[in-house]
Amino acid sequence: MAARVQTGNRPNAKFAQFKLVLLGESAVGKSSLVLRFVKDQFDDYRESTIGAAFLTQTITLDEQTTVKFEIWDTAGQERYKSLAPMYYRNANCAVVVYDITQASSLDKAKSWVKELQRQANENIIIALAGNKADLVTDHPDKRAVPTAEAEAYAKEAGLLFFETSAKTAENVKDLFTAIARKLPLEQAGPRGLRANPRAGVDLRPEPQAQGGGCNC
Amino acid sequence: MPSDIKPIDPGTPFRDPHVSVSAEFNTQRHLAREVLGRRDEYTRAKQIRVKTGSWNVASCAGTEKDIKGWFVEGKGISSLHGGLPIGNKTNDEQVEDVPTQEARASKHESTIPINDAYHLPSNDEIDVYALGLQEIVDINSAAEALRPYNDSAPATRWKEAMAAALPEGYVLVAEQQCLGLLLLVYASPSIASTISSVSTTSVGTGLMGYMANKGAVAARLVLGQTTKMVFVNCHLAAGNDKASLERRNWDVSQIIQRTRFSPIDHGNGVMDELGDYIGEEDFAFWFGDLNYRLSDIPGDDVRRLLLLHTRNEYGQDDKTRQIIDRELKLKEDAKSKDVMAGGEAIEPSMDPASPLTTIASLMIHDQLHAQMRLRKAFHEGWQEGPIQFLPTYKYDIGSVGMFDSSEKRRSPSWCDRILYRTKKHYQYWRQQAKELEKVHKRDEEMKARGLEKENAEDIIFDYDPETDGDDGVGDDPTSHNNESNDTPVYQEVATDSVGSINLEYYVSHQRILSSDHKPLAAIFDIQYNAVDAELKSRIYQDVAKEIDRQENEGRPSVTAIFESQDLHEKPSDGCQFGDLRFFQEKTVLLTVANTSPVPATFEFVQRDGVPAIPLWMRLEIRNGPRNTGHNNFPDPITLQPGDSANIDVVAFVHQAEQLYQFNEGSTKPDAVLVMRVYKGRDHFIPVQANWLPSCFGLSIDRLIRIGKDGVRKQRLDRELDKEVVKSSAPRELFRLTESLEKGLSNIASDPARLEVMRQQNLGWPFVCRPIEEIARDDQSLSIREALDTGSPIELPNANSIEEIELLSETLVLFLSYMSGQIVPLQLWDILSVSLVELEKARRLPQDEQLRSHVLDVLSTSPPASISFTFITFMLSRFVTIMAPVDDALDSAGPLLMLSTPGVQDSILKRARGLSLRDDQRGTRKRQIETAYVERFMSLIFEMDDSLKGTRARKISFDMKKLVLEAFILNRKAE
Ligand SMILES: Nc1nc2c(ncn2[C@@H]2O[C@H](COP(=O)(O)OP(=O)(O)O)[C@@H](O)[C@H]2O)c(=O)[nH]1
Ligand SMILES: [Mg+2]
Repeated sequence: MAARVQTGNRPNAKFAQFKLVLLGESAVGKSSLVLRFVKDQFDDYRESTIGAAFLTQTITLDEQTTVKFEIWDTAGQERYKSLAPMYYRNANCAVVVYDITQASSLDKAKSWVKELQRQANENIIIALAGNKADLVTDHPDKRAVPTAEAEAYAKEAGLLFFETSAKTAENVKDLFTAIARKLPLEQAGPRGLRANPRAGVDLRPEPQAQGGGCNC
Repeated sequence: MPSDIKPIDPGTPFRDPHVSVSAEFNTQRHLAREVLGRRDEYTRAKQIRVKTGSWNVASCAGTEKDIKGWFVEGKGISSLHGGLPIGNKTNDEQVEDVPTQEARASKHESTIPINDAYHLPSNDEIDVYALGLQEIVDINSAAEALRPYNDSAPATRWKEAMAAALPEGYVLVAEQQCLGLLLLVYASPSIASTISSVSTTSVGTGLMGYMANKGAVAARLVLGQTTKMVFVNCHLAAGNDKASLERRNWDVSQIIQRTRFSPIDHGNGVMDELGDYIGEEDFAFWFGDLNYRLSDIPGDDVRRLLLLHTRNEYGQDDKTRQIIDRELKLKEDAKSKDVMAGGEAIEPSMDPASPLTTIASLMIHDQLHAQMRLRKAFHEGWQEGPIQFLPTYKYDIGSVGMFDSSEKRRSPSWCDRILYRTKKHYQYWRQQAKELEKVHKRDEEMKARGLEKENAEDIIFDYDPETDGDDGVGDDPTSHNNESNDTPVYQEVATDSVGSINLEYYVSHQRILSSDHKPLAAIFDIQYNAVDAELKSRIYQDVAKEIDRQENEGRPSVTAIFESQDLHEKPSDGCQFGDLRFFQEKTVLLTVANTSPVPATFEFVQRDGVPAIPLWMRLEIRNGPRNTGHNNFPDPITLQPGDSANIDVVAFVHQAEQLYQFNEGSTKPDAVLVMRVYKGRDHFIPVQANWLPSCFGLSIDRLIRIGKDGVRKQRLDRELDKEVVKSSAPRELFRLTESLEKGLSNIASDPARLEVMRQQNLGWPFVCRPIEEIARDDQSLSIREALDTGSPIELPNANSIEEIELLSETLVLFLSYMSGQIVPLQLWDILSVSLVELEKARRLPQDEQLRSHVLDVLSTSPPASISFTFITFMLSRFVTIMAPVDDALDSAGPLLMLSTPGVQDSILKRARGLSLRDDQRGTRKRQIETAYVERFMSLIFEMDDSLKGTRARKISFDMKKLVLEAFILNRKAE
């Protein structure tokens, strides 16, 4: 058998990279959703986010297409509020999170959506995520935001909508995949293509060639 | 991971030159303060027993022989007068009786009664022993008092006595001597290890107000990193008169004012700035010969009253008893046997004849309590346990109960005392003092307005610790709530955050005979919160992290993520290239994101002279500006908050030197990159790749030792030197030339392909594409891989023309990178000399003979001659196929013009002549031949760099050309 070396260069593969920002009240589970999506982990005791965290995750939509998310997880506390525009500036997509057991967190989410629709990139794809869905499976009385209410709002505001659980992973992957599918993939180009390919060094005979690239 | 790579160290801060050492120190202080603020979280309640003892030894010889008995073993308490609950007589019968004891007393041995079974908690039941002695030297001698230094011999004697007395392992944690005063604090091994910040000092208040014949020695220590304790051992002014009383009060105020301890050391180099005072502590113990007497009662009456009790210690016929009775004018009749002894049924404290009743009636006259009530001394929250023992002063030496029988007949009194105070009591007092001040102020105002004066005294003494919020007091055995409220001095304080104290025993050791004072002792149960070192270190780390976080919040910081091109691999902190092969380009994507709220600029920097990025790597910003200058990494990049940069980190080994080193194993393809964030921290990024050995870059001598499975079988190139020679010439060279010839035959049989081939440029196919094109070509890689692993060369995706191109390109690369040429300089020299000789003799042969001559010379090195043959044979095949013999010119043979004088010139001419003729004819065949010859000349022959640009070089060049042509050109033999 001939020796084969995998190089990872797949000539027909399409690749696109997008900036995604997470917004929402503190402790609704933004960081947990990202952790679930990126590392498939969940942590009951998470340190709250300071300023912003940055992570990346690449998902495969089909054999040809991979989408890489550059994820900006922001801190929910008020004192970081003024920083938010720096993170949603240039963002291609946003996930606005609320906690389905906290009615007030949906109000906060709505104000984020409003701000995004006014200030952010006009083509921004926004998804609304009602997180901590696991908490109401056994205790339906804990639910503070009815699914129908949030869904209606999402429809009206033109948002993708999912009820998620970072804890059980429910709908987490689906949320990000749905966003990826809505993104303008025609931008996609082959992965690894460089804008400025290095000028090659010709190896053509040049007796006594020294230094430089190759010692042919 | 190789040992020279250090893992990413997130803790190493970027040392900003503007951050001074003092700023760092401030951070330390800040840290310590914050940790202190969370003290509750890392302290755990601990309970210990502290025993304090005080004894005026009156500079009597032999007193130290008694120290073990009373202070460490808790013996020598008279069951009648020692302060124990009366009626609790244990084994009294066996105890040596008083007369026998007194008769035995001497300064050469302990005066402790024999078989004294009753004793207090002792030995290792006590955790801290604090001993205060007075008059260990004769302070009444002017010589001693005015001595400018301490005589350490008496203190040494006492320390030796204590060391011998204490259980094993007890440690002297504090000592201070000042003339006659000696303070020694010992702790059990487990407690001693938790004691810190020990400081001791002396205050002299004697002659002229500062001489040390009177005054105090004091010690401060910190228990369990939390609880500050102060011990004061004093000897106050003596005397019964009013002036002496006032002097004692003044002494006390002086001691309090003038005692200064060194600043507290909080560890980690953090010290309090200011010294420490009495009053800052959590628990204070003040003991010594306070010298307060009994007022408003004739001393003689006191003496006589007390002797009535002590006489009962002696038998009817005892000399002392007789003396006492004579003095008291008591008849020696049976009735008077127990004059003061009460009936069985009456409670001792209620029994008018019991010592306790007498003691209580005398205590009313106690100056100390009076001064406390009057707030003249020890009013600032100090307390004392209930006195249930006879006055400790003054006895005949050697006597249990004979009060001073000398001329002076000094009035017995409770000169020796042990007081204590908790922070809570002190704070309470201070608060009351403030209230009082307010009341006084209001009084003044009212007075000014002619109003009635309020009774401030009522307010200050309104406090009853029992009803003022303290609980759990009632069941305390030392609480004496039934005492009149004019002794508000020993109420227990309930546990608070500082800790709590419980007086267990307050006793005198009546049966110690070696001094004119009886020693007294108090045992306390103390609860305090001690630091749990493990918890504290955890909290310390927490706080450090938090401070770091706060500090970093406003500083530039970036997050760096590495992703391999293989999407299945998870992003990581380090840069992992995986397997790395010669001429294989591997890329890892580095994403740097500014996660701070301020613009962040970063760059890659060199460290310890190591280049920022090793030569076999390069960094390129995607969609960004090209690297400028000669760097293989970009200029500093500035990111706005919320922005990120994608950087391709490329590993690519194509430089010969690097290739040799990796193959040799002398360097490894790993590194630690330093990514510096301006005004932020440095990121240390480990880079790793696994080098796979390559047949490229080896010398012929090593190549011939490679087995048929390829070079990968060896981990390191130099291991080859130990192998036997496995083939006469490099197998790789054979495989490449053979494959090329096979490919060539395939094409030769396909007219269409043959036509395509013939239309290629001159020199085809022995040309190379640009480096990067080769590097990214999987098919090229698979040829090299086949050579290195000994597997068949297969190029399923290449047509026969491409196959030829790929193989010949690989051949050129192989020869280019080979360490040393096929014909090294030394061999060439031999060959060229022989050729010149032949020419001189005008016998330079034609092709056929020239070829055999050359091979003859080369055969001294079989690998060289065989390799040479492989290549030239293959080239001649190419020439034949690429340009078939087409005209008569070829049969004309070379022109030899040997008529010119210089032999070398003639060679030159011969070569030139050939070229000239070819140029004129312009035949494609000649052009191809020339191109091949020139292409391979430097690949086959080692060039002598020293000849560069000289005429000799040109000659050498022409001779090589001549030799190669003899092999490559298909001239028909004449
Ligand atoms: N039960 C449950 N708890 C969650 C879920 N997501 C987050 N949490 C918890 O909610 C708290 C806040 O989560 P975090 O991700 O830090 O919220 P953020 O402030 O929005 O980033 C943490 O204690 C999480 O463990 C979820 O889906 N279910
Ligand atoms: Mg968070």
